[in-house]
Amino acid sequence: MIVLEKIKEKAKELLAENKVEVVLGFTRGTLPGKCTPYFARKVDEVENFVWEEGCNHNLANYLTKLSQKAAIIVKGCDSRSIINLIKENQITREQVYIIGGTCPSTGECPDCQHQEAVIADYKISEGEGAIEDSFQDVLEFEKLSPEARKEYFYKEASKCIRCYACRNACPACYCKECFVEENLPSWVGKTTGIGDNIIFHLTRAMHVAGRCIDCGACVRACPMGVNLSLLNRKMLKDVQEMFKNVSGLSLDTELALNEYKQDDSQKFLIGGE
Amino acid sequence: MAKYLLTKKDLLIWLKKLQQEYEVLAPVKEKKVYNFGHWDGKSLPDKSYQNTLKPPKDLFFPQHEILLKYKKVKGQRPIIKAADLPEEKRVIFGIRPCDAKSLSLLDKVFLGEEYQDPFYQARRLNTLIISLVCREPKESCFCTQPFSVEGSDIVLFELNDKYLVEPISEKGKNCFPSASYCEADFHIIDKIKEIKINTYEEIASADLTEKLDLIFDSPIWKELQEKCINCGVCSFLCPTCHCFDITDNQQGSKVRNWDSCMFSGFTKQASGHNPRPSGTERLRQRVMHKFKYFPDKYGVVACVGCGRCVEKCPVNLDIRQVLLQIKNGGEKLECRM
Amino acid sequence: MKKVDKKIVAFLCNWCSYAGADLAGVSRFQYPPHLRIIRVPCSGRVDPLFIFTALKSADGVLVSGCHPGDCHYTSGNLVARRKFALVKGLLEFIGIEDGRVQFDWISAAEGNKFAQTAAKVASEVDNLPQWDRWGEK
Repeated sequence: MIVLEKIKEKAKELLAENKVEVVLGFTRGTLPGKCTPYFARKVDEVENFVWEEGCNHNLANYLTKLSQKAAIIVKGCDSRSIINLIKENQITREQVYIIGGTCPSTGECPDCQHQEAVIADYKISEGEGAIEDSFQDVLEFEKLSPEARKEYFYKEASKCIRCYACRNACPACYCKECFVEENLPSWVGKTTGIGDNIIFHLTRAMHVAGRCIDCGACVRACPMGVNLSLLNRKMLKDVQEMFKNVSGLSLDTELALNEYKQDDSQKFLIGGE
Repeated sequence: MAKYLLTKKDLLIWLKKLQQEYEVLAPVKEKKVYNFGHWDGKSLPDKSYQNTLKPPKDLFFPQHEILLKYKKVKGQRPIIKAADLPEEKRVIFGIRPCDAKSLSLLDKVFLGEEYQDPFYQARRLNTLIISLVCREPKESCFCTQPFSVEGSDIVLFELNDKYLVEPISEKGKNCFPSASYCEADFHIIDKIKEIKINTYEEIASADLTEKLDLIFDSPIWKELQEKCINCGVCSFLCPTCHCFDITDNQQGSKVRNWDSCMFSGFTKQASGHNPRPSGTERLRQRVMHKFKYFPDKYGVVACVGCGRCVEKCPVNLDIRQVLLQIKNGGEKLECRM
Repeated sequence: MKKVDKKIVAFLCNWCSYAGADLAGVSRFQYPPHLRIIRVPCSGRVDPLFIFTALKSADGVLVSGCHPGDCHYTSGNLVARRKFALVKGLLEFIGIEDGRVQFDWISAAEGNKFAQTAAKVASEVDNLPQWDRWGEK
């Protein structure tokens, strides 16, 4: 409770002193257990904020659309997304005031390693430090036969209705025009045929590879229950193993796919190495 | 209208009989969610069945449909061949009354005076709709007519382990062997009253349509859409949303795909100009189409209250709240229904 | 039964591998006819989407660029190298055979290597089970 009081106090202060024009946070939703993003612009609107189970959408997503100076109440994943957005020049550090806390809604994210905000102007709570990710789910899946893996993936992809909720809920998907919408030429078919769905999902996973921070916003947004985290986490694991890179932890390091080293692995070549 | 009392066994026998002539589709459970699929010939939806995840519209108006194929042969005129009309005879069993009603709304568009869509028409004519009245509403439901028979050929009520069957349309009457069953007496029919009814106040009333008339340019839209992420969940899971896009594919087919007014590409013109450049205009369009333009044209709102958009919206942008906020003249309501 | 030749889409960089293919041609090195060559300015231009899309109508993909250090644009292939490593891993992860999509560096001077690589990839793709073209066939 005390955490929420601190959030409100800070938000009121920022708004009252005109340091920011809007504070992004959560308010209670209309269904049990659900919270919904909330934009407080007046001091008395701050009272509507909550900080509890269900506050799990990635709020960093809204920063690229806001032109005003904003404060944002973040948990671990939101803060990591903000770091990536700053690094990719989508927002500036000055434009956003970060109120950082420890995630109040960890129930749905068994693999979360950074529940606590990694960047903040004002820190409201201290949580446990980072936890090592064992990638147990990915390792388990890799143990299956190639046929079983293919069958599983095809089945997941065939569920997709191409509503693009995964893309739109993702802070890393900020392209003004997404490859699925371009039609001159049309890069990917607009149908929900299995082929188009597979191409969409593979390309999506590649586009966010090295930038995805595994916040799970896409998984929660998907109405059809497609297991999107499987591909995301495979990319995460490979990036970590091959390039020794975990994105969204520091403003000083490059994103994995924006840099290279002379001795990067060439195992993927014919003949390998 | 006459209602007949059937035991579970009677119902299964009748459906089995229908299966000899029709492909019977029923709610099939897979990993906690129901969707319409091939009926296995023995199981009936249990108490966990509230509604299907996907609305039934794709059984009539598929998300992706080939309209015609063309082929160019050197030195000859191009060969154009219309796609075959679907001929399969189907029964959809277990559809909820709200979704059955949505079909009657889609009929206004695809089987209206101006235009009859041959694919939709063929599927509608070949399909018998047997609806199943809900036992109780979901948290996200906001239908106000749980006993609506609109769009159904036959309506079923679940009463403990028995079923009340009421044939509605001529098609329904012809498919139901009423002579083999007893007509239910009023004691039994009275039991329908025990079914829990949604107490949700009617939100899509006439004064809403009037109000929408006045607020096209209101700043309320900007405020309402602020948290919207512009995905297509609401429109693709809506039983009445029916917008589509027709494109050519590289294999020489003209294809019709669902489209959503929430997408930026929906109104983008060849010049690059987009008359609905931001989420504000797009959300306004969706609300206006459902609660203003559709009623203006067809006399009824294009929302049946199934609650799929409420339940599945990634950011919990609740249409009920949006409408209430509009009704209250833009005053921000402090959460909770 | 008539043997149907399988199709392999080859994305070759303009400065090295495409010239390598050219050299293989003028040197009269023989290689199987499976390849459908698409010339790209740099291996860095090969978006993973190209590879996935190619598999919708072909049985295999070969991507080849300049050797590390030889890139016409200094580092295009080095950036691509990280991307390709991930693509290879991703495809393997979803159960696609190792030989279906292959990568190599071939210089403009390596006409012989080009012919050998083309033959190797072609024979490997030939020996794979029938490709379902992402489930559409």
